[in-house]
Amino acid sequence: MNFLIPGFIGAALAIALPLALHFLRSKPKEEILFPTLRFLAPAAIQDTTRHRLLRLITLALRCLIIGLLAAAFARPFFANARSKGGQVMVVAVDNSMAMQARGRWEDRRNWALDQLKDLQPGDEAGILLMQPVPSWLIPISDNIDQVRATLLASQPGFESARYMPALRMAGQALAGAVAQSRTIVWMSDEQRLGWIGAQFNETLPPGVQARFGATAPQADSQAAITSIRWAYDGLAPAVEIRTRLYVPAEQTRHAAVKAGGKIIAERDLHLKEGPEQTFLFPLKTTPEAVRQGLSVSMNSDDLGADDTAWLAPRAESARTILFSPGSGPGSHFLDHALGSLERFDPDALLDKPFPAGDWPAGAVAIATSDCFQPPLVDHLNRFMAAGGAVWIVVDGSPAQKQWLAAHGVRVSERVPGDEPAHLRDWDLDHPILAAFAGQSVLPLMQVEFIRSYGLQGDNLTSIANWPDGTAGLAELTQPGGRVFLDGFPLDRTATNWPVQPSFVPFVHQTLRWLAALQETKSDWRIGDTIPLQDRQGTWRALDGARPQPTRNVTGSVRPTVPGIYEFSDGKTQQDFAVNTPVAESDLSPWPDPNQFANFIYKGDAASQQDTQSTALILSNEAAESQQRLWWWLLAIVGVALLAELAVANRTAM
Amino acid sequence: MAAPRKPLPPLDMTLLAELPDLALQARYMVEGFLSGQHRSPQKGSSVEFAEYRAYQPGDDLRRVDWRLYGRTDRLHVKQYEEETQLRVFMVLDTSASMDFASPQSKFRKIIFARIVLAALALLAQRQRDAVGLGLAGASLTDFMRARSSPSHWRGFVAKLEAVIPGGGTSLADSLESLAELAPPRSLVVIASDFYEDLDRLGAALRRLRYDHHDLIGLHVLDPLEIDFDLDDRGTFVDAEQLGFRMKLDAQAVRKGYLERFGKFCGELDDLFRLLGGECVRLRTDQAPMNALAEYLAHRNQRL
Repeated sequence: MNFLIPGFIGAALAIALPLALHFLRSKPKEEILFPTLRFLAPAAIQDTTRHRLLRLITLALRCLIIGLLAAAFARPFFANARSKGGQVMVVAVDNSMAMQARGRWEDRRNWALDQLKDLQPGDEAGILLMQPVPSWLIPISDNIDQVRATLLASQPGFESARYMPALRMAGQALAGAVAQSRTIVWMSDEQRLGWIGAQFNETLPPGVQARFGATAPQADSQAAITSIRWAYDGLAPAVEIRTRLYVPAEQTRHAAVKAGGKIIAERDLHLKEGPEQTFLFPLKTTPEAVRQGLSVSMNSDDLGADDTAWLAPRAESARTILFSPGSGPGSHFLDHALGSLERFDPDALLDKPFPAGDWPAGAVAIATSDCFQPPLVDHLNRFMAAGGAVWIVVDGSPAQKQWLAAHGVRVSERVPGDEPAHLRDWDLDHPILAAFAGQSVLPLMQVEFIRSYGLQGDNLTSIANWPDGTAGLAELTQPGGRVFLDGFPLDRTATNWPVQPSFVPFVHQTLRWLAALQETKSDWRIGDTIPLQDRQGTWRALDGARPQPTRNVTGSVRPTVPGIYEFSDGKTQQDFAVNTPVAESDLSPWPDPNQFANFIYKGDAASQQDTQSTALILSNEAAESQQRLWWWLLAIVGVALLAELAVANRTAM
Repeated sequence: MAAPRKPLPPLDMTLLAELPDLALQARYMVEGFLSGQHRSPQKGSSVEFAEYRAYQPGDDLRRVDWRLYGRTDRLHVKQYEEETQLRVFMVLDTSASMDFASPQSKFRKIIFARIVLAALALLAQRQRDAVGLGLAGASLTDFMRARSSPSHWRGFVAKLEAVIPGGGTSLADSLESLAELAPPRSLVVIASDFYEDLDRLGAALRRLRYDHHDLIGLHVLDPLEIDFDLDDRGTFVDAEQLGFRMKLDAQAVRKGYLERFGKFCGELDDLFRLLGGECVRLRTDQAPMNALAEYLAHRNQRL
């Protein structure tokens, strides 16, 4: 029981008044000689006892009335859980990958559990996870046992350390708590990466304390596989890894490539401290045969999590271009452009004719006028609905115009002038122009167009415009799929671009963009959000550092454990390899732990007290206002008054 | 601690002068030495015919009913009720509880009782009945045999005037002693508040009744004892046991007191009634002669 205005409790001293009147009241001094007390004694014992009891009840009622009145004016309330005035602790847990380093997690967790021993029943505690974004594992509550049990059962993850957001969130949470002691228990290894960018002149809210443990020592042995990718040893398939050795200065490790639980390649790695080193693992098994991907592991060091990297099999359809050579005028230019790099680039785009059935998902279709005629148009529509990517070469055919009109694109044939037209307003930030980024755009602007079509529509994003403002190159925003439109046929009667040097890079870049080869990362890291093109499906771990349950995902997924995952939407499967964040492998501690003391507010103590008191008062007023115990006390006073009147009348002389 | 005993004031003879001309009659037949106005179990010469009895040799021939002999040819002797003198023994309770007078009363209880007993003695004297006296204290004291001479009556009055109340009393013991001393078939008048164990008192009264004494109990009470009309709070002190004191709220205990006191009076009345006597309650706020006259008139009507 607490009182909002405890000063009124002093009024309870008025209880002394009826007490004094009771005990100091005039005692009968008169002696009455009576013939015999034989008839009075029993009556006296019975009646006087009853009378005395009534008087005591009267006295008690009067004292009760005064006491209750004093209590009512003091505005009593029961302290709510957040205003008990004890201790509140937030254990901020650094669950980054670096905490997996040998002994760090156990040491920091034991230290945090020791800090929790200061809590008493009624105190409160919570657990705040720092990564990937600060989030409450256990919100602040008085269930300290649950906090301890959860802390004991928890384990570090694979995220990158970022400390300041968690410190701010914990501080703000404690600033709102009302307690005598509000403390952040900072369970972290104080990795340098976590404190990079921290503003050490930023302080916690007044009254919030922070306990930082000892900074973890530098590791004895630490190396990491920083990246992994498919490569070629000549024309033979291979896996290329990059490693970095942090300590010691030089070390030899043994590494093995595993696929399907079997070692398919292995070698010793002579590591040197400093920049990344590249190692190649020639494979006896072709990448296409490794259906579930592969992993490369070094023998473990102080931080074993980054000693293994996973590589997903490359989807064949990702570099498949559906194209019908000879399907129209100028098609041979495209055919030539597509095959121009096959001799040099193992990742070269492979053009294939349109299949008889449904087009494979993940391929890129170059749709000329014949694709808008049955039966190809039905395949095209299904291909689009399944998220396919299409390059539409606008040639003004009626079927194509109709199809485009159905998709919100108006096509207007431009009237040829005396001089060839040129595209302008180039959006050089667009990915299809990435090959020209940092280069002169003059080759693009010098391309001449004799026959062309202006494109208009609300869903069009222009990449380059005709002089009349209509789009000549445009991206059509399409649910699920990706559509690129060029407003000119790719033949010499329409433009001279196919014979310009810029044509091949333009075609390759456009197709790579459409095939999502350019911006789709094959090297996913923990912390990345993998886009799934608004598709729904299941996300299943094929291999990984820890067992992961299969779950349903929509649109995107954010893996928390490195490994190989398979996304399936029921029609297609796509594999993703997710590896540890590179920077997290650097276990270096923050060089100046003394800076952590700067976070503690060192302002006027009275100001802290005022802040605390204000919060306490606000909380107490809210609790008192909600409970309205004074009303009940006054009601009891009323009842007691009636009872006192009734009893007092029977004892009045 | 017992209070010092103080002598009572002399009897107020002016009160006795107001005594009306009433008779003090015994309810039962009494035995006396002298002939008087009270029936005697003895058959003798009197004007009141009792019965016939067959003549026996030695009988006085003057008492033979010759007329009956003429009619029946048998000798019968006429027997007459003998009227004899009444012996009245007055017993005065001299306990401390009798030395009590509330503001509402006109007399202390013992003074009231003394006047009543003196008046009764005067009535008996007028009837030439014998009057005796016994003072009931811790034991029976100052016992006076029953006499009817005027000098005896003066001695009787002197004894009453010399009474000093106080101390405890054992009325039962005193009555037991009286039973030993008093001749049978006497009228025993007990003036007391009867604050006695009723079982013991009953035993003593039965002893008296066994000797064919006629019993009259004069239950002399202060109006305060009867009504307990007391609003004050204070320390009540037992008159007979001065160390027995109680702080009481009179108003609070009044109801219980009246219940118990009424029950006591009822049991006392029943006790006298069962023994053939009677108990009359006299309030000291009344005029003693009026109270006595009222009682005697009422008693004589019933006899």
